[in-house]
Amino acid sequence: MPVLSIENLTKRFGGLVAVDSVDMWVDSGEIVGLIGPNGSGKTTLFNCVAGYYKADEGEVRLNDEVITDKRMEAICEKGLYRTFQLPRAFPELSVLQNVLLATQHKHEGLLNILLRAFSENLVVRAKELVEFVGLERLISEPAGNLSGGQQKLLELAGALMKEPQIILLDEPTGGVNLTLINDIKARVLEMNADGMTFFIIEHNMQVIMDIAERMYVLDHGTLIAEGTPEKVRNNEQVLEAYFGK
Amino acid sequence: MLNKRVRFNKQGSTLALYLGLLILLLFLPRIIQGPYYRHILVFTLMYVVLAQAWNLTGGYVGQIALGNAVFFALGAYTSTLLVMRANVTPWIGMWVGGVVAALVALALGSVVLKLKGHYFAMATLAIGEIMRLWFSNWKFVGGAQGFSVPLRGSSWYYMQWTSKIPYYYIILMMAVLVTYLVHRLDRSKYGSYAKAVNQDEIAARSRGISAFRLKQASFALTAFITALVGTFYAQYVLYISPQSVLIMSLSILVAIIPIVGGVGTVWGPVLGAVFVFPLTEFLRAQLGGQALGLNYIFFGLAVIFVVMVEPLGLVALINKIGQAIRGGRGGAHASTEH
Amino acid sequence: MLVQSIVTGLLVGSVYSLIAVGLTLIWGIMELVNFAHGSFLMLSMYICYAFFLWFGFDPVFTIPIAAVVLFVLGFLTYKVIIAHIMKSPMLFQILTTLALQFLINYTLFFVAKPTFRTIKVGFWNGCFVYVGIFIDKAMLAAFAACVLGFIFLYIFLHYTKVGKGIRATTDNPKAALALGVNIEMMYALTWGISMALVAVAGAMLSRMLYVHPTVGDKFGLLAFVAVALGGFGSIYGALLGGLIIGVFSTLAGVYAIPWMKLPAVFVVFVIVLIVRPRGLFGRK
Repeated sequence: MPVLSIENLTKRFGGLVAVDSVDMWVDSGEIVGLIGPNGSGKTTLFNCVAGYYKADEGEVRLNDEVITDKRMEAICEKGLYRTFQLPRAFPELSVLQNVLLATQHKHEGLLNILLRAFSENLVVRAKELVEFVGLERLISEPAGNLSGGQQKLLELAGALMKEPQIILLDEPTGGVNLTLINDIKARVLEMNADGMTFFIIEHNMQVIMDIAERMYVLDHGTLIAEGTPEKVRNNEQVLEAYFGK
Repeated sequence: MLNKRVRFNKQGSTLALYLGLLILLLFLPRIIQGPYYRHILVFTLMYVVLAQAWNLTGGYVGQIALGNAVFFALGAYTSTLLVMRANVTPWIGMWVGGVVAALVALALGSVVLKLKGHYFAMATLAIGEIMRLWFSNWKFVGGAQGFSVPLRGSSWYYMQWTSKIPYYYIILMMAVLVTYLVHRLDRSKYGSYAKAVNQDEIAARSRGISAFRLKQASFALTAFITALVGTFYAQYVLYISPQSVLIMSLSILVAIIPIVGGVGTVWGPVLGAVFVFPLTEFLRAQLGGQALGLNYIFFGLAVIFVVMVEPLGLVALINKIGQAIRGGRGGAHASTEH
Repeated sequence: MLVQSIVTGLLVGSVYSLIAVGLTLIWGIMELVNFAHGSFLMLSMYICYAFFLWFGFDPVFTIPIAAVVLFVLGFLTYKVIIAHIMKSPMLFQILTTLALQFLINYTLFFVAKPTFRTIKVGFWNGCFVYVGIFIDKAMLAAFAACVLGFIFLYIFLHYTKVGKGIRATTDNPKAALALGVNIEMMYALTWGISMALVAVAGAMLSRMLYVHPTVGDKFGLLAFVAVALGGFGSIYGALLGGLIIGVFSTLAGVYAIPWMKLPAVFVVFVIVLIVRPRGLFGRK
């Protein structure tokens, strides 16, 4: 049973079909890539899966539980963590706080939230995660002061804090400098070695071809290819989609 | 090693400061004689509590409510009606009013809290006016005339005294307790979650934080606390009417005070109220009591000053001055850290 | 009765429209809600009262003066205060205009004392009767003034360079900037014009209402409703919204309980905000 299964997912905006009857799945422990030219619907797909948009048709399952019409918060707590193309951190909260508040919330009652601070364990863990992504120097900095790339690393730390079933990364290396790209790549591989499942949208071919075991290719909302990186790399339709005839 | 000692000193000096402040406040009525000045104290403390209440929903979570007079009135009217019609002591009526207000907040909130920013502000403004017009025409609550709270002289049961001193201590206790509550909330998960929702609601929700429930809880708490002060007011002034407890300027004032003091901080509402009220009341006394509305003018100016010069409010301003004086050791008594 | 109500409602509504259009102009060009709008209306009424008191002027004649004064005030308000909060978070923008409302209202409290003043000039007293419908002369004059106001606005926005500049800035600030439009000036002028329009409305209202420091607040709120109904940023929307409210509130006053006039409008307001915040013709 795959961790994430997407069946016949369709999303329309007015007359435009952004995502068209897409079928995908991600197995536990995999790193699956999602590529395609600009505007092919990748982020829209993620948005539908994560509950940011409401899908028009189709079904999304997380570990066999249907999550298609659930709210963002609920989907996150059920174990699907997504990051954004333009990193969304909390600019006036410190790096540590940013990570801390990504902890699991499902067991928190109202009184717990109102009166309890984060437990020592959580703080320790958050600090470890900040170290893991290499941001320990900036641990007390307001997250708004971080560069884009650093914020992406911060998001990774937050993802780990949640201990999800699967992490959806939307262009984790977009707009990031080379050193940080390698950092991000390394962290993802480390996390995967520990058993974390990833579904990654990427434009950077070098990176994604390197770390993905399997890939899906989207063009104009339709799935046009899937398979191993080699297979996809040589697929005519894919080449056409990117480079034209 | 050195760090630990320095921190202990800081904490020690903070504690000493609080204690000193508390002692001063406890003895204030002895120092300040005269009903007029004592009235200023009571009034200022009332607004401290109201401002703290507003700050929870407005400063922390970020929903700018401009209709808190509704909850104030609900508290005042509930307890007054209970005293008048059923001889229930306001000490109980107070809590009933609080619950009523919280329930109303939950009901209204389920609809209105889906609005953001300007829209939410305008909606609460409108609701405040709806309530005012409704109460002004509803016989059950005395219409535009309102009610005079039945006079009982000095009585603990009826929460009334001829001297201002018991009132002072009650509202002082409320102010201290509410400030402590906000302090606890600020330090707890609520503080982080609320600020997160305020700064980026989508991001917060994608981290699994239920923003809507947080807003509802804040709003209900705000309403509850505000209603408690409403009862206090009714028992202090002994007269309530839509013109005195349901007016727009009250709703706006309790929003303005935290902004001036420092929105989303524990001490902001305190500083805001303490800074402007005594000052303006004093000036008013000097000007022969003819200076109507001086408070509001000052608050208006203060907001504009704050917004243009130091958006983080008096708290931040004092912090900076403190730092400048101490040559950079940092302010110990204003909580502007996370 | 129904027709009478509708006619009266339209007359009343025209005033709301004129007030509302100023609000929507400001929103349209800088996405700012002016919570002090009603206070400027009140200022206009006091100006008319002053000229009535000192020179016996009928408010109609004070219109040009009030319009100029309020234009300048609006212009200055932008330059001195609003310009500095254009980049501030919304919280501060909201509170600044609220503070402005406080400032203006309570300065009047302080200066003019909160007594109720009236302007009693015989000029427009009485009613016309047409086909059995009573039309109050003063309200008809108000209606005429508002219609004129809208016509002037239309001409200004479509046929003058400045007006086109304002429209350009409202539609696409970046493009306008690229074309060399002085955006800051457009903002300031929009504030000035909004207040000038409000001044006209205020002048016409000053005959019919008690002049008092908080008299404008209610109209400020009604202007919000009109703008919400018609759509934030849309001038036609403001016009239509104002008229709808005028008719609706008059009908509510006649067919339901009289005091429910305003609450009914405000309830509609909240419903509109929730169900269709974009209003009828809104863009954002």
